[in-house]
Amino acid sequence: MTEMNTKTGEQPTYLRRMHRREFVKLLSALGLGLVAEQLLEDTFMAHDAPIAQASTGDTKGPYWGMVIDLETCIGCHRCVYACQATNDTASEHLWNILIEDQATFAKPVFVTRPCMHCEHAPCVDVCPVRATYHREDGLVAMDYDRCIGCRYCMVACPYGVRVFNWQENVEPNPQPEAWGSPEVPRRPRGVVEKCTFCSHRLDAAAERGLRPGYDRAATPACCVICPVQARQFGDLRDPNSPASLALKGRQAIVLRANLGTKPRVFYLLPR
Amino acid sequence: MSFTDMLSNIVAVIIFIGGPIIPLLFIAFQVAGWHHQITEPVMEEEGHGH
Amino acid sequence: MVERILKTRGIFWMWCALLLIPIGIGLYSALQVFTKGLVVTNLSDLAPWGLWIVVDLSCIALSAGAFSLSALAHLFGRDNFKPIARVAVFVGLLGYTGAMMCLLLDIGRPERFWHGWVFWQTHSMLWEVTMCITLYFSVLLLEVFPMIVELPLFNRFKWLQNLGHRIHRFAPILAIMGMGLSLLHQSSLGGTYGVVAGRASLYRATMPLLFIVSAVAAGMAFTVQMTLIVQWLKRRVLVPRDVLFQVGQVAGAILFVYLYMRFWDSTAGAYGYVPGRSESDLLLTTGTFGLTFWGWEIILGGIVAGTFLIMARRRNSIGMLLMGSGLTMAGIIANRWNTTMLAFTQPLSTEPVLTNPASVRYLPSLVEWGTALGIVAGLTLAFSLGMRFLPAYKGHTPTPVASSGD
Repeated sequence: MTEMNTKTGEQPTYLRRMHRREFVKLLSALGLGLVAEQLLEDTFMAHDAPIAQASTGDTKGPYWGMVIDLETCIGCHRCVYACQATNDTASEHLWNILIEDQATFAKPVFVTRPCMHCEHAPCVDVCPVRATYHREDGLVAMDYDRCIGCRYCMVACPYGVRVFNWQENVEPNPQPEAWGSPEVPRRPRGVVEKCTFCSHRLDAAAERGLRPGYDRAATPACCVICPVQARQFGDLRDPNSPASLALKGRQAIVLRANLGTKPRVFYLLPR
Repeated sequence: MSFTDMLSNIVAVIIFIGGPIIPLLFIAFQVAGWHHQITEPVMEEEGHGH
Repeated sequence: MVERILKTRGIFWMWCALLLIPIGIGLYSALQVFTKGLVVTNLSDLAPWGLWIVVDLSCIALSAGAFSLSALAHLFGRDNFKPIARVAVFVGLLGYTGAMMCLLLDIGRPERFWHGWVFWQTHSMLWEVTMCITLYFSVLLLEVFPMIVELPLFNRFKWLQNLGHRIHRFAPILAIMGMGLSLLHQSSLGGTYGVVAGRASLYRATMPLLFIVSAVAAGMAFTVQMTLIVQWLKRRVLVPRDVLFQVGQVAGAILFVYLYMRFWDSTAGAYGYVPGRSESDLLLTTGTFGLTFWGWEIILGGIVAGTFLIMARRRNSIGMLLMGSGLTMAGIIANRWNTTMLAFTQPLSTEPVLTNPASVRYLPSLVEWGTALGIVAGLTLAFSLGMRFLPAYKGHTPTPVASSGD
């Protein structure tokens, strides 16, 4: 029979009865636990600190951005096809989608929507395992080996650009060779994926001495294929990059600016 | 609202509200019936059986 | 008739055997999910969370009795609540088991379930939930462990039983830890939704508050409900009647507090226009969700349930108490369903231009229903076995009232 189980008339609280000392012990243990947590966190964060903490404000080097001209876009879908071909996405699983918007402006416009690579990306904040993160250059990337497929990032993404691999992609790429050939490995079943700004091309560019935005092999496939140059890519810190030049003298918007996500994709309003 | 809309809504009300309530009412009557047939034993506070 | 059947020997095992059918359906459905992937569900990129998340949230909310009643019994000096806290702890353990089974089905890579513990993302609400739920599950295991080792089966392992006694001495400490962890994750489950700025119906600071308050009311009521049903089936008394009435009243009072918050939270939008928010409030109160919102959340699962829970004591009516707690349960499930589904039914805005389809439809697939059924049946089986065999839930034999007429 333990002391606690004894039925007592006056119903003293347990603290008064015997556990004050243990309570103090517990409190100090909690305090120690918090310190330990901080230490552990530092340890775990340490090996990939740059990607976990980078936000574009801090990054040095290029500020990659994409500029899409709503005036010139003719809605030919080539950027959609080239993206699917290059990134080898399953049919219906588009990283870059196109929708005709007839309501917003005086004339109908075609709006294509890749990943916005937000500076304050909600998906990065919510991922419970840091499977989606900011690269050192600030782009939002996915670690397919770490993703557990909880899809919280899809709930949190304000632009709905993320797609989930509901099944293994075993079909041949739906796009004919003309639009490009796969340049990245397919993602396994059960993970989330999204537009990468063709970061594999950007990464290779540095080694090969190419300039993203200028050289075709170093620029996202959707921008390269565009027949009317409605999509421009480049370093927005460089005033002479194709993207910066496209912005000059034009009125540009970002989607859902009120959320403060700071997208890297800018839309030029129709004149 | 068309007639079929109205009908489907009525059916929905019956299913969504009646569905859970009818078994609940049934169980409540059974449980209450038994509980009202008994007087409770005087229970002593005991840890978990010590 | 029911009375006679219940008295028959072997009826318990028939009940268990009967439960194996839905469990089999659940196992078969789960096999489909694990072999073929989530393609067998009706979830989509536009509605990525569905029935499983609703079951998960409901399980956790209905398990909240474990921490709240343990805290009342062990920390706030309500010694007479100890018997019902014991029931609540077992209900809670099973509830969290069910929640974790749901999550295991829901994530695309179930074999990576442990990533949350290794790759910390301290500013993710879901990470906080993961850590708290697993830690709290261990607390519940520790709380239930002493009751399990009391089984005659363990008489040979005296050291286990001694360990059990030793753990039981720390019940108040466990209650503190349980309360801390539960307050954290019950609220941050709401926070998981509340921080999603991109979805107008979810993005509200009230979300964590609504979740914790509703969970406490529902968890207490659900424990009362389960206790009453078990007592009836066992023909034994586990918890004194007055304690049940008292817990019912506390649950009813908290339910009314919650109801008041929920009512204003979802209707205040009608007094002004907030982009997105006003549309979602309209969708909730008059649109697709009007029936489940007004019918279940507000009227039956709110006002009626709360009134029953509070009035039952004065009327000395067990029937009222059971109806009240049953309706509370239904109301809370409806709430979790509405909250989850509303988020995806409302089209995602990409203002100032349109880039998204107009509306999203989701109804769970047969496989999803099958797994949910299997999980509920599995929990029911475990609960039945526990209540039947664990010495802590042996109960007391009541004496029949002489004037009852038979």
